[in-house]
Amino acid sequence: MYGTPGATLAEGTFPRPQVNRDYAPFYDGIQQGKLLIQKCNKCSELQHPPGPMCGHCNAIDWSMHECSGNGTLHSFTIHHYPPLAGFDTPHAIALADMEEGFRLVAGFKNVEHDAIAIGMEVRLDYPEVEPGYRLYTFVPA
Amino acid sequence: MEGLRDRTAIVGIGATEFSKNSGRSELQLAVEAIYDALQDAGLTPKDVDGLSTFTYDESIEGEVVRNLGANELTFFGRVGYGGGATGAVVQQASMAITTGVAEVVVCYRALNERSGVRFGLPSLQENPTSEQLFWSHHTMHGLQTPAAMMALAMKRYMQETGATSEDFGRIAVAARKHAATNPKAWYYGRPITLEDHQNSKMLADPLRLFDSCMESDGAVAFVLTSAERARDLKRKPVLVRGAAGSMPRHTHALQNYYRDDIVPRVEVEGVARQLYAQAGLGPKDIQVAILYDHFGPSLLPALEGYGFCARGEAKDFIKNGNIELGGDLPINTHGGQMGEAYIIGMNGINEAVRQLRGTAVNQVAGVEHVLATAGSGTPTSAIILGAG
Repeated sequence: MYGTPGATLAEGTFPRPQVNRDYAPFYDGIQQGKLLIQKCNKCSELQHPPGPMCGHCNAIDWSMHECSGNGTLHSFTIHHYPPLAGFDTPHAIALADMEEGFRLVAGFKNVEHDAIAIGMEVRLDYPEVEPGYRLYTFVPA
Repeated sequence: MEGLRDRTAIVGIGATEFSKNSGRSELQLAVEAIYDALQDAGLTPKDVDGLSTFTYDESIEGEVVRNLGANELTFFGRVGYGGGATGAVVQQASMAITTGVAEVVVCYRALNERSGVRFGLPSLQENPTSEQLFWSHHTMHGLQTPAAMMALAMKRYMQETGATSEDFGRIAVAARKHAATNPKAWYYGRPITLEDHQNSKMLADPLRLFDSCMESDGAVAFVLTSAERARDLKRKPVLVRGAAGSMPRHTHALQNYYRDDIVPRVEVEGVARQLYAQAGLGPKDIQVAILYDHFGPSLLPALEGYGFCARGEAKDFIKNGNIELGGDLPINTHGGQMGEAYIIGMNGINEAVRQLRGTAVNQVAGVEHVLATAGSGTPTSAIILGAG
């Protein structure tokens, strides 16, 4: 689990997430510039990260629900060291409370690091960081 | 509620030297430490019928048995979640002995963590297992090191409690002070000041280099058997008064971002509740605490979770040398994993045994009970050891 050096990536290549059938609808949404979150067809609970069973009612019956991408900062860090392949350090990573009631982790761009504070409002952006590949990152609201 | 209370004992401890480049295989480190522990106990490899270790340990049981010249194992189990498992490794060994599945169980951990695979480096996930799907959901954003993963939780803790980087620094200073007088410690003779801590490199805000455990090569082992058999062995037994683990909902390896409270204290409270009930003890009964310091700042919420002070008050509890020798609660008297070595908390359990035997280099007077914990911020575990 630990210890696979990020430096094995080609320079400038963004690391891709692992995707299986549980996660695919979420990541497919990102490539369309949409924040699609699992919504249980039985109890209407939103679940994130994605998973096969509703942890609230145990149904296995999902729709994807388009969310706003608006949230408030729950916590953050600025990664300084060591260098990360595909990222310019120092770089900021945010954990946000999304307005629909789930949490989301993503990078935090277009912001002065000294200006980042817990509680600030953020929104999600979907930059095409490589041809044909969108990332999702927070930016100030 | 008594569970495992006083049913088993640690009867022997062993270790290799702690270094940055051991010059030998992890398996060799493992069998050296295990043999050392058996000799300390007055037992031989032929007496061993159980092994207990971590899923991340590279020394597979069959090779340990072959090289030690042991016979048949009737118990061999591993616990996941890295440094969260340190107490659980003892817990399952005690369960095996208490149920009669095995009689003499050796717990071990061996690693060339500095000269071999280094845990602090960025890591990516390359197979779509349930674990790696979850990890890669974060590593794709450049959240790739243990320090950065923990930093999010500690940033939130600072916001909620007003704790500062200087408060974090006091924990590092205490660890290095204890290591400075421990000849086995990597940082023997090399204490640091609060200024040194403040000047150390930023890894992931708010965590600095001197907030992090070191990287080490080495191995630690210890031997458990029944309290009854322990009475006939050569060392004064050190009883397992309690051993407990906790995996609260939404708790993962250093990534508890979907839990209401992301501070690494929820899982600690889960362990503490069980542990004190099992042992029939409370925090006031503990004279020395060995608290897992993958990141020194995690000791603040851990002190609160284990009930040594109220929520938010750990930053005051640690002031004025209170966690150093001579303080109300000496912590990590061997120097911990920021001062002695990073052997996934197992060297801390050996220190707990030495404190109870009265043989520690930084011995505390009148020690009756020692708390030794696994890493927080992950499914975690802990034990309370007591003089037999």
